[in-house]
Amino acid sequence: MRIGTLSPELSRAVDDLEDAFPGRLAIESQDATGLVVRLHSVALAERWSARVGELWFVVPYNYPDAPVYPYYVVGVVLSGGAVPALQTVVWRGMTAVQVSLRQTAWDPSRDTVVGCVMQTTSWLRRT
Amino acid sequence: MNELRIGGEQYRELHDHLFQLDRDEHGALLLAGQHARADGGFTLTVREVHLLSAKDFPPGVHGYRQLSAAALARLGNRAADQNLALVTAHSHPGSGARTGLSGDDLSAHERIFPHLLDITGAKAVGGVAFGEHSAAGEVWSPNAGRKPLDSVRIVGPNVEILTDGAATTDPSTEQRFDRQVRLFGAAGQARLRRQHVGVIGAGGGGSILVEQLAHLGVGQITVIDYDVVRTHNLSRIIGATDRDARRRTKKIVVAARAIRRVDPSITVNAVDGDIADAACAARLLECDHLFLATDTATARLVANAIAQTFLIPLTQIGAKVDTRLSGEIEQIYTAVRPVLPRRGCLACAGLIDPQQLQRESATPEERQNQNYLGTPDVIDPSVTTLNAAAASGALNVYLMGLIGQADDNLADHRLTLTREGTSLATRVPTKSDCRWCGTHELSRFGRAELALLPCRPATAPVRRDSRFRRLLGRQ
Repeated sequence: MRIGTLSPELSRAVDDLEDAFPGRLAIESQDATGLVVRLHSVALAERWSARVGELWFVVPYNYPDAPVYPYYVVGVVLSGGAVPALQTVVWRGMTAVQVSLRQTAWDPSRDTVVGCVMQTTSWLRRT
Repeated sequence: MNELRIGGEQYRELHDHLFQLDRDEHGALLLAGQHARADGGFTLTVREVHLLSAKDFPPGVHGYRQLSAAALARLGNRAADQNLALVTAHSHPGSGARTGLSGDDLSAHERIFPHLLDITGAKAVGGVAFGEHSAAGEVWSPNAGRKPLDSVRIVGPNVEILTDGAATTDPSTEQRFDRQVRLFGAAGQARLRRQHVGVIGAGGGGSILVEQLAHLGVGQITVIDYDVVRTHNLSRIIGATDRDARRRTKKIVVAARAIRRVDPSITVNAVDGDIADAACAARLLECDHLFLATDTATARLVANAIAQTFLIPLTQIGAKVDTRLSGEIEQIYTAVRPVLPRRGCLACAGLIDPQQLQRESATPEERQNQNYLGTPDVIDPSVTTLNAAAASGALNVYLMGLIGQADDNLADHRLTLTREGTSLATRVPTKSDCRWCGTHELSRFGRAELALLPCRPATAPVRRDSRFRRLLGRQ
């Protein structure tokens, strides 16, 4: 897609995500909230209906002052009992599982979207 | 109008170098952000001060001293890389409160500045001669040509304006200000009249600020708010009526009405919008002072960014009632937080909550989904007397700085505990890695570019900016 003016930090976030997840990243849209990003081929644990899914998230327009939160797993469902931090929601017209993993001590001068997405994908692979 | 702005600490460093015990001329090169003003002039905001050694400011061929070609090339290239303007500075020791550019100075500009414009690719270059308490200079730009520098503004606890000392002030003789003039002096009152003050938020705190600014005699007020008056606002928005609440009148309309009621000659810019949008933020960039009277993290982020990026002094005000889970009141306080270049930064003070920023940037649906525990929204108490205490405190800090009466401690963040009657002052330590006031290459400090503010994206699709990528080390 054609994207609008990005702040240097958003531009770098996209570059870093592309480097960290080569060939697996798509910028789906850009709106007043930020960039909507889709990461495909994300490994999932056994409790999910498929072992691979898509992870969506919004990089806020004012990133890194605002962190990336939450994440959404789209196209698969959870089986078994409830899991803390996972809720099924309707998000931007899609049914998705919201992954409410938050870096509570977010530091804009240190933390990055790549680090957070890697932590989330790692958690999804184990949980 | 052309103006050079410099933070108080940086000016002290520059002044100490320019005026040494040897009483000789000394020089410096300044790298500055360049904001093209609506009136066709420039505001140059000093980001870097490079003090020149004797080797880089040797005896001159054409004049008493000259800038070395090596220093000009080195810092000219750096200005080009950083998208900054280059400003030459030197001293005229002994000239005191009145100075001017000499014939040699003007000739040097003619020899050097066309090349500097070429090397730096900047929108402007400048040259300033400093007296101990004065400054005179020029700003050259490809579009506007050669223009005089009208003033140097030193943004510290006291905001000092240096000029060549030739212009006379227009002391106010208006009867309405007679009692104030006895404190401010006629020149101080005239300076108030020339002020353009921005107020972000026209609610409980903002409505008091604008009305008091009008009474003080400020010449131009820009007030920004997107909200409307509701019945529960009537206890604290000065000038709001039942009719406003019924009709959902915009808060800025009430603010403008209050200002004009006090003094119809004041220019009022009532901006219906959100400071998070670049178009609204842009309305504040030519203000002399900003007051922040909203309680969102987004407004704090953007206002703090404007203050550090454009070197515009900001004062954030607030009133807070902390309660325990039991409902018992823990603390009641008002806050006045001055933000100056590299001093009192709200980000360094930890006063911009990233999680709140994220919530505020999300859609209503996302906010609802994120509140999966179903925690009810907390409506904070708000009382007009607390708002008034914060607003008046902030205005006093502003006034003392304007008339040169501010003690250095007045620029500290200050909480006043209402029940105890005591004040707690905090000197915020500046973090070198701060994105706004830090000293690192990527900080926004002094860059004076609207595009670098943390505002919502413009709607028109444009390209990703390659210069940003270069600044960030990605070719």
